[in-house]
Amino acid sequence: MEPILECRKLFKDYTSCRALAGVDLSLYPGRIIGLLGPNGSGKSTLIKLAAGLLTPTSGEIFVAGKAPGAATKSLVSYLPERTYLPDWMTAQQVIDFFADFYADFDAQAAGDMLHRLNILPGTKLKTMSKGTKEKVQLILVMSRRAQLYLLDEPIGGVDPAARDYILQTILTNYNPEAAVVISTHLIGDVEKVLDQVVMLQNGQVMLCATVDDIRAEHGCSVDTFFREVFKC
Amino acid sequence: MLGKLLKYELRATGRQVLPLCGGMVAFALLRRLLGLLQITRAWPGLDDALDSLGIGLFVLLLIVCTAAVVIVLIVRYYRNLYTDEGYLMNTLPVSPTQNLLAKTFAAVIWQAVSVLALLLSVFISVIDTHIWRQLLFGLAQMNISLQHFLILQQGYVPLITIETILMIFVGAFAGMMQFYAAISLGQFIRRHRVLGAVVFYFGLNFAFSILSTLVMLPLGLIGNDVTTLNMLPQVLALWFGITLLLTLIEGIVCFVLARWCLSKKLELE
Repeated sequence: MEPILECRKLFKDYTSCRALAGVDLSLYPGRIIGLLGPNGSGKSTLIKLAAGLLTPTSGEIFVAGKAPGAATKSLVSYLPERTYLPDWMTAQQVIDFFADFYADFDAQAAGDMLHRLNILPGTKLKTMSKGTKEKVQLILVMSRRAQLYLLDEPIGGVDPAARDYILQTILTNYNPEAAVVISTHLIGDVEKVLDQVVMLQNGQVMLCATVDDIRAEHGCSVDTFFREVFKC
Repeated sequence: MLGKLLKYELRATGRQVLPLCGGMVAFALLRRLLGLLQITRAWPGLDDALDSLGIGLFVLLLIVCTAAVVIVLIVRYYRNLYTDEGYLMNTLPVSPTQNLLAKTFAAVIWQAVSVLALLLSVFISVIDTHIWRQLLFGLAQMNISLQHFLILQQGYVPLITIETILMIFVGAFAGMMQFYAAISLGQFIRRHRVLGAVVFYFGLNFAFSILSTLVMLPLGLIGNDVTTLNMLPQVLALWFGITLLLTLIEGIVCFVLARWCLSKKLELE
């Protein structure tokens, strides 16, 4: 099976620091993968590189065997850690926007999910709270039949009830033949949905294993294992 | 995909550009209406003062609105590609060239619309007034002078006319591309991106000025040797043609620079 995301000796330097230091990684479809690590470990950088929003300093990154570009962007459904939808648009306009650009977008499913959240199609994004905007973004991203979902901190900064909603939305909407990469440090909340875990430390892959293997080998949950490894 | 991008680009920028253009035309209409009503006709002195004030405000409004249209287009480029909205636009399944082309086409269209709105508002403002009559007289005089210049070289009239019309569009394209390239290059100055864009803008401007001076210098020398009016149309056509070509090259260079930044050097915060 061909990896959906592959990194070979991937380095990324910023002006003042090295974010990724030689990442070698292959992720395969059909799994929900937790990209875990403390703040500054390189999680968001790795996701942005895969989404084509950053350029590697050296090394290579491939999505479905291709370097990030227009072709891979049609396969990747990316949820950034910030609100990125234009404020002046209405809920219906952003649905139309996604439907226009993504052939795999299910406008009906997105409309139904927004309806369940009591968001009217004519509601402007600027009138929505930050939490509601984040839910709208998640709905748009998860309404695609993508091959790779890159979700950067989808549950960071939201209340526990919203976390449940977000995880439920991910679980009930993702394409089972795709890989879902969830970047987070709130491991306790996402552990129950993960198949595999990639742990980053100082820009390097410290561990890449299935959740079952970690539990069997270390005799504890991934959350407990993470707390032991990254104890301050 | 380019058509879809252009549709959204026109919709997003039109929200701000169209009211500005409408504002120019509406103010011109309002001014004429108030002028026709002569609400203070009992005090002609006051009418004249109000008229002068109206003209001053009108000219100021035209300058502000035309400048605001350009600012809207520049800010749109920066915000839509290099801030939070960039996370949406740069992850669409479109190439950087398509993204850039959509913004460029929209910018040229809106600049053309704003120039038309400006001309329309000036037309509304002056038609059937003493300024209008003076303007017609001036144009007639200019036409006679032009005929004198061009009478012996009739073939150059359409050429110079086409070059002038093309220059409006090429100038709008190159002017906007210079802003786009400067903003894109400014992203290399990671902690001061806006300041970087300003510095790169002046840098590009300086570089292109030097280049055009070097290219135009020989033509200037030829111009000095023009002793008869017969040669003037030829020199004018050549001068317009070279300026057009240089402006087009500047625009293309800036387009390539902006595209390179978007495709090879994208670094969203």
